[in-house]
This record gives sequence, C-alpha cells and structure tokens, in this order.
Amino acid sequence: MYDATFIKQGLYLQGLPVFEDDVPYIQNTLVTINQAQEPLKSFPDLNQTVPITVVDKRLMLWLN
Amino acid sequence: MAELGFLTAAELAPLIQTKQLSPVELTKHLLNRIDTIDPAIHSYITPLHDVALQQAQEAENSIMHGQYKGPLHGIPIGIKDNYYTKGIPTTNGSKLFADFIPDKTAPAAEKLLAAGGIMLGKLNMHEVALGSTGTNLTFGTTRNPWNIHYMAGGSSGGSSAALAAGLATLATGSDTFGSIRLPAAMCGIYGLKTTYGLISTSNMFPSAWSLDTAGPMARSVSDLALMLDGMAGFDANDPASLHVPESHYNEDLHKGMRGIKIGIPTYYLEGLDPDVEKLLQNAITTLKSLGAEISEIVIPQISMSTFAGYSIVGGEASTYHHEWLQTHPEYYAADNRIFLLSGALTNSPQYVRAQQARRKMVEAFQKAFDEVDILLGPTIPISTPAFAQNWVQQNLDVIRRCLPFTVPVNLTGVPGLSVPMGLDSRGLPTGMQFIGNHLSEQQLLQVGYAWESVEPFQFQM
Repeated sequence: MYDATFIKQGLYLQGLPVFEDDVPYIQNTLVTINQAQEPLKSFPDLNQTVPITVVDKRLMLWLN
Repeated sequence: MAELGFLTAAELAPLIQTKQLSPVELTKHLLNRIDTIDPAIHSYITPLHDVALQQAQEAENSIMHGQYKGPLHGIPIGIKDNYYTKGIPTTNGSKLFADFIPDKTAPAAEKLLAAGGIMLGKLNMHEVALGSTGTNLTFGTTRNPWNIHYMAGGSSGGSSAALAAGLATLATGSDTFGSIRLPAAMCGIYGLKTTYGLISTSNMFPSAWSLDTAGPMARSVSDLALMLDGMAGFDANDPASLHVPESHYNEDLHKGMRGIKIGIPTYYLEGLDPDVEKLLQNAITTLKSLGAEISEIVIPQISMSTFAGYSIVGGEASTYHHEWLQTHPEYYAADNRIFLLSGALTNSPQYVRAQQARRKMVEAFQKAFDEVDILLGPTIPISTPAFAQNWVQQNLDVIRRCLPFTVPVNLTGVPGLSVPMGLDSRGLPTGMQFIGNHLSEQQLLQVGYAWESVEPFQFQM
C-alpha cells in the first residue's frame, strides 16, 4: 500500500525532499498509522460525530 | 543538611525567607554542579551563569530589605528551550533555531521569574519537541542520571535529567503527546501535564497546536503545586487560554486518598513490560492501603488514541514545519524528518476522522469521570531503554510503544500527573500516571502527595 514510489511521489508533489534512507522508516510509520485505524471500525457511528476542530472563541465572538 | 542540589523548593523556601540561605549561595552551588556534572548528562543547552547570578543577587537584595515575594523567590529554575526567553537564545532543540533570540519571554516562564524565580539556564530537549528519546545531534544527547547508558526520555528530557541530577530545583516542560510525563517516568521525577488551556502556551514554539500544553516538573508534588500557582492563568494572546478562578494548588495537599475512587482502564493493563506490570500491581496494593477504592474500568474509545495521536500530531506538526522541511531538510535529525514527512503524507480525511475519534474519547472520559474520581495507569508500558545504535529506529519504536499510553490525556485535554512508581530490576525509575477530569489539578496533586508520602523517592548521585 505504501510503496516507495507512492511515498516519493507524495513528497515530491508537496515540494518536500526525498532522502532514500528515510523511505523505509516512513513506510513503517505509515503502516503503523494505517494499522491503528483498525479499532475505529468498532464505532460505526463515528461519522455522525462532529469533529473537534481548531476553532477558537474569536470565530464565534468578535473580540479584539 | 542534605546536598543543596537535591533539596526541594518547599524545603529551600523557608531557609531563604528566614535568611538562613542566600539565593546567591544556592545559585552558585547549582551552577558549580552544572559545570561539574552536566558534561556527562547534557541536560542544558545554555547555562546562564551571569543572568542567574544577577537575578539571584536581586532576589537576595529584595529579601534582605524585607521584600520576600513568596516560595518561588530565590529558587533556581531551568527553562525548557522551547519557551521564548527575551534576549536569550531559544533553540527549540534544533539547528534551525540555533541563532534565534526572542524579543519576549513566554508568559509561562515570565510568571515564574516575576515570582522571584532564578533562571539557571535553557534546558535540552528532543529536537523540536517531537521525540521520546532525548537524542539530540546538535546540542548533545541527554543521558539518564541514574545510568548514563540509558535515555532520559523526551521531549523534556533535559528538564527531567537536570532534576534527577540535582542540577535545577524546578524545571518547566511541555507535553504534546507525553513530553512531560514520559521523561518524568524515566528519570524518577514528578511531572504534571495540565488541563489544555490552563497555562498559556503563547511565545512557545508550537508542536501541535490542538494538543500543546505547558507544565511543571519537579522532585516533589509540593513543588509542582508551587510552580502551578505561578504558571497558571488566563492569557489573551493564547486563543486556547481558559478563564478559570485563581486557585492555590499548594493548599490542602494533605487531604489524603481515603474514599477516592480510582478506575484503572483495562487498556492500560495490556502490553506492559514485566517490571512495569509488577510495580504497578505493588502500587495498586499500596493505594488500597491508603484508602483508595480501586476498580477496573472499560473505556473502549481509548483504542482509537494511537490513530488519533499520530494523525493529529503528524498533521499539525508537519504543517508548522512544512516550509522549513522544503528549504532546510538537512537541518532536521533523521528521526524527526521521518516523523514529520510521514505526517505530511497523512491526508485531510484522516486528520478529521482523528478529530471525530477525539470527541468520542472526550465523551467517554466524561462518562468515566461520572463513575470514578481518578484514572490510573503506568505512564509508559516499557522499562527505560538503553541507547541503541540505530537511534532513528529507536525513537520511532519508543513513540510507537509509549504514545498509546500518554496521548489519550492530550487528546481529551485532561490533566495527567506522572509520579515515580519505583525502581525496576535494573535500578532504573518507572512511573505511573494519575489522570483527572478537566481542571482537577488540585485533586490530582492531593492524590499524588498522598502517594509520595508513602513512597518517597531518594535522589542522590
């Protein structure tokens, strides 16, 4: 799923550097994140949940 | 008298107030210890001999003229190097910011100094506060004072190591996914991750805005309370800052633990190293003997914390560092560059899904706190590792093992207090964390104080 080409292209498209030695570690980290999604399947109503967002008080009240 | 370097602020303050101990004498003593011991520990990036002695002299003059400010007056404090300090290099532990000299001081540090604290120096940290081993190729890797072949942890590893080695009386830290509690556990000191928004994080380098907290680190619970009194409070410049009534965290510490309901999430009992598991069971027995009512509790939503933690930290941190990663990628140590680039490769749906999971966790924690007063678990599931040759893989491994135990507290915005849990079979410290509801710092400190009174930790080196 996260092969080296995918990683390199993903970084390239964002103007980010590719260090060959980094790629296997990035693969492993992305696999860790992907595997960590598994428990989310136990919560079928997750998509009905309003996300916590970086919304602060200034969006709701006009404060200086 | 015990070695001055290991006395707590609560022990030093009456000596200073009654003029039995000079702040200048105390500061000189600690600076001498730093000169002698720190080359082997690397807990400081920038010791501040001149600044500290000048502040100590000012404190001494004030006290001699009857102007004693309170228990922080004349107390030497180390400041983590992601807190801006006016006119003093502030590196964020990174080569990128090696020459950065802020024109203002972070309010969280400024308030400690205004209360009379002496700034001993700027403390070492894992680069850009995003790692757990304390490895730092630019400023020197922080080593664990209990055994220098072992890590001090991170990212506030300089803070924890300086305290454990008697090179500071108090220290500041920051905690985004465990950076106060993890090194506190590894070095056998006390660290408080505060309620999100209780302490201002303005004029501090961000790691991940929606998780970042500032907090105190010390060699006793009383000292954490003294620091929190100084650091907490509203700051209009921090959008997350909370308006809360002023508290006096150092009062009522003696209330004890009798009748306190402690829930141990079953999540926190899985995957523990044998020494950690054994020491946790011992601790549970002790807590029961203190009168705590302990039961296991199931909070299934915590299982989403690893995904949410990686996605949110990775997403926010890689955003903050994006331009620097494009222009100066070689300035990052490989472990952080890999972590940040991985974050850049996560996507928006993952980030938002993580924030949905986070709300589920907040709701679950609120429900749990209807049933119990405190949650308890090991701070981290592992015994402190020795340094490995492959430090890149080691940092990623320590994060992978420990983040699931530390980040739930950050994701839910609640406070977590890490206290020493005892020494493992190799003679290295371990830690456990008391987790409370939002703004329950007072109760957490009371519980921690009761624990400390029966399990005092001895520091000497």
